Amino acid sequence: MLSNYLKIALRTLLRNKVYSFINIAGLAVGMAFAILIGLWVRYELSYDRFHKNGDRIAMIRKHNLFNHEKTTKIAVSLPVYDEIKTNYPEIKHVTRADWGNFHGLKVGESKFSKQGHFVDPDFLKMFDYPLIQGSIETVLKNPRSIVLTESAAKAMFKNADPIGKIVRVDNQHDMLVTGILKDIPKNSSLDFEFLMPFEFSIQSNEFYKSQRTNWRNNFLMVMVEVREGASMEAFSAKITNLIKIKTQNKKLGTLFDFPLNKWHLHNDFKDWINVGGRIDDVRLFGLIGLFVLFIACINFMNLSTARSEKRTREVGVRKAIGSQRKQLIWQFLCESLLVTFIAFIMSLVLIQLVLPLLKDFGFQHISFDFDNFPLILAALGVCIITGFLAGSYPAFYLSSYSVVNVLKGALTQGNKGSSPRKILVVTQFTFSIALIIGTIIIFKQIQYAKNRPLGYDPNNIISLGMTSDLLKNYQTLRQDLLNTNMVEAVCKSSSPPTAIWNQWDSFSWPGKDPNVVQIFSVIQTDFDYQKTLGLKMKAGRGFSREFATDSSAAIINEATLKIIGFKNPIGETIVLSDGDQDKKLRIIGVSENVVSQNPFSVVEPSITFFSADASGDISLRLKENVDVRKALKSIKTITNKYNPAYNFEYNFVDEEFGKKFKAEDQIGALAGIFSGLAIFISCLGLFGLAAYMAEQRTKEIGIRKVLGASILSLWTLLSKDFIKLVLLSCLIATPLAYWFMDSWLQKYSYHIEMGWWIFILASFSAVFITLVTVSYQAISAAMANPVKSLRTE
Amino acid sequence: MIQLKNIFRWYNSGANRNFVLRDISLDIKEGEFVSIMGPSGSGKSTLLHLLGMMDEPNEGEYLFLDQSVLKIKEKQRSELYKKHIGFVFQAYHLIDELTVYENIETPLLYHGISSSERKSMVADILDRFNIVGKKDLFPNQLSGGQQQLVGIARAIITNPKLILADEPTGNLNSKQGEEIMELFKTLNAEGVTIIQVTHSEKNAEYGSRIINLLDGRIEKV
Repeated sequence: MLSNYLKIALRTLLRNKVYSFINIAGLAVGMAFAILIGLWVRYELSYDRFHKNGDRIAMIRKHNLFNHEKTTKIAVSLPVYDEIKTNYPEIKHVTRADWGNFHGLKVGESKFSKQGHFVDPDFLKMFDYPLIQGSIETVLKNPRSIVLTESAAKAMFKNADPIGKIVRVDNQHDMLVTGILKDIPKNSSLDFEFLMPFEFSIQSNEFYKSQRTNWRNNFLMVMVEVREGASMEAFSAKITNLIKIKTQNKKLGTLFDFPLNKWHLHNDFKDWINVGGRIDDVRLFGLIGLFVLFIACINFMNLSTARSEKRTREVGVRKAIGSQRKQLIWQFLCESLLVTFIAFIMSLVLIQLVLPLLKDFGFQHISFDFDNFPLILAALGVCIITGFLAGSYPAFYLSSYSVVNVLKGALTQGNKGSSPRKILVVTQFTFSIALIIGTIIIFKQIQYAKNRPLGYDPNNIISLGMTSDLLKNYQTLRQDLLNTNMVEAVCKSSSPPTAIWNQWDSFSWPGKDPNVVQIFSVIQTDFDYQKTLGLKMKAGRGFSREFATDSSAAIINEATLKIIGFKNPIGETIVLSDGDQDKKLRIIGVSENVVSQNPFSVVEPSITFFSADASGDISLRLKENVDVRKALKSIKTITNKYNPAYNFEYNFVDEEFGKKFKAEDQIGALAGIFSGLAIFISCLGLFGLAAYMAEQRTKEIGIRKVLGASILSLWTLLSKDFIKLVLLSCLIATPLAYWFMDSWLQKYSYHIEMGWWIFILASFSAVFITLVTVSYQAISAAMANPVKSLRTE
Repeated sequence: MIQLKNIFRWYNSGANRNFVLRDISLDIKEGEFVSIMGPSGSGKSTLLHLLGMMDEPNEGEYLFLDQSVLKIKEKQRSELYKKHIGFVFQAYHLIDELTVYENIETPLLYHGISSSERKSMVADILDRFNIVGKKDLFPNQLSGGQQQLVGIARAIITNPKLILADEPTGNLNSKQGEEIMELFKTLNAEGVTIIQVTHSEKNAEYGSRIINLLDGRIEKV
């Protein structure tokens, strides 16, 4: 029986090659992308799941109330660690960690730039980053030890045994290699190539030492593992008011623990509430993947039922020779399973072809492993479900024909079965059009952020980063750079132009509301900052060597001016409380709002003031029309002279800024790919339907032609039904997409308004694409010789 | 074998009833060869479909082998049909995608007959109809007469008691038609009851009884 079914199915497929191609190709593409998205979702969900005790690990985080705004931060202060370590018995392990910066590592004369964390010995006990060499108990015990990952060790020591060897860090400290870690999995939120004891950074850093009892300076991460059986919630409640109690200051923030399994996907907070994060993208694309697959299924249903008149005779005959309806249903389901299986095999090939192309869109760590049995099984499951889903409607529809009608040839075509088909087409196009609208809006939003005025000129600026050696030799370095005649200006600052690393709440000014904690982005810098960045000033001037008093001067941005509210800000004074002493800062300039952090957010108020200690970054502006390659060569020579521990590394500021669009560019590209796919698959289906319709109406067209209808009028006649359906889809898709994209745009504080033209454009292109798809069939049917078409009847 | 009592069949068109069959009562015994004749639209095919359980009357009673066809369940009826009735069509209605062999085999699949048994049954009938050489051909590679032979082979392979034939020679030339009618005669001689609808007086003569239909009524001769 089964072989009979399969034989029929295969022969039917081979007989109708175009139809089969449309069906199988549509399904294969839909399945391939559904599986790809499935793989991506699986990868995203797998983040941090490899830690055995993961459900007991959390990061201590902090809710703040600044500027009437509720924010949630990662950084906490140093005493938090000591407090939790000593006074909380429910905590099994606790570790501090810094942000994981790049450091210069030197072995002999070879220099490497590697990223690593300073952590406490508990770190390796709570997280599952297995050691290949060394023991968990001892590797981080000695403050002067370093633990390398396998590939870092391999790169640095080649084939020699690294244990017991010396690594010189930042050209200052000699560290002893005590352990080798397995490489950190790609799906780990924490990523590093080496670990060093946090205790060492305290011993070697005067600033850290001074912060041991300061609850207000937040600059590190603290992570905990609670004991078996202890409740994370209870612990979280216990530490809530820790800072307020310790500092006797009710205005300071509250602490809570943030579970490990939320770090990757649920990292967004709004008004102190955990509102999601990357999980939104995961859900969105999961949904879109299902949509694309669903659209492909709809095609299958549509084409199968549309073509069903061709098979009604078979249904009649089979019923006449003894088949029951159930058996027919099975027959058609088998057929659809066969088709989906062929499509499945094709989709596996397609996945292999497409995966390398998706590397830039967040798929670089994703692969389809054919030796992964559960994965294959799951994919096969998708295939079977698709087969049933796609085949169910045609199966029930086709098997419902009554024998007499079919065999009499009196089957009433047209209305019966065509209205579900219409609903399917409308559903399909509603998805497709909504996706087109979404894509346009995403692209507009990205374009909008890319084209926004930045407040400075990011072109031709090179950022060098800062090391202790460079800081020591800064003045001579600066002079040497300027002497090359290729550099326009050099400055150092507390953070590079594309970031802000400090946010302080210790400013006051006349008329400040004492009850509000007001936080400002802080940039400390020296002379030539304005010149180097090409800072655009609204009023006043930048720091200048000609004014001795500029050592206590400040530049504020427009956002700050708005908060402070001075009518004539130039010459006014704001006060910075720095420890016990107050520092008066005189405003000498107001700059435009500089977009340095998130290009999709409104610029925060910032205060830039002069400080000789600024030590985060060195920026330099190249002269216009300088040969960049030559300039880099001289800069390299000079930098290497003063920075012997590091290889020469630099960033172009405009490129760094461009990287901030990576996530959005990815989403835009993916949305583009998906709407393209959805439209493509929908059009495949439409093409098939149009072909069927033209065939079905051959006689009608012939008669009309004989009666004198023009090709144009026939074309209109045949196209108009489809256009109506697509217009209806536009009507449904518009509010749907509006609602959805409105909530998407709300994620960005700097966003576009959705213009009506976007919806018109999307609808227009959908209608246009439909017309092109349908017209081929419509026109060729209209041009056919009526004598011929009438004779076939 | 078959008893029809006061069968009516009509279609509603608007407020009117269009009667296709009016008050048909009919007895057909096992082993008969009945020809139903009548002009177009007289209700011949509808009567045949009623007899073949593919259609139901609006009124009346139908006994097949002493079972009331209209009162038993759909499933039992379809069993009854499957077991005892074979259908031959004017347009042959072979499945285009299947070979001659597979077409003949298909009813056996629905009867749940084992593969080896199927093989021998199909081989027998191919042999009997002299179409062994054609078994791997597809319907569109055969002449009309050959297709109808396959159609009949398919109808009788399950050894039905009754064969219903709807103008079996309507699409054939006279020589092919004669061959088919001879075949029916042989089958009838072997004990199979045959009811055929035909336009041709000559073909009707093969039967043992002729029923004339006019406007849905049986004409008394």
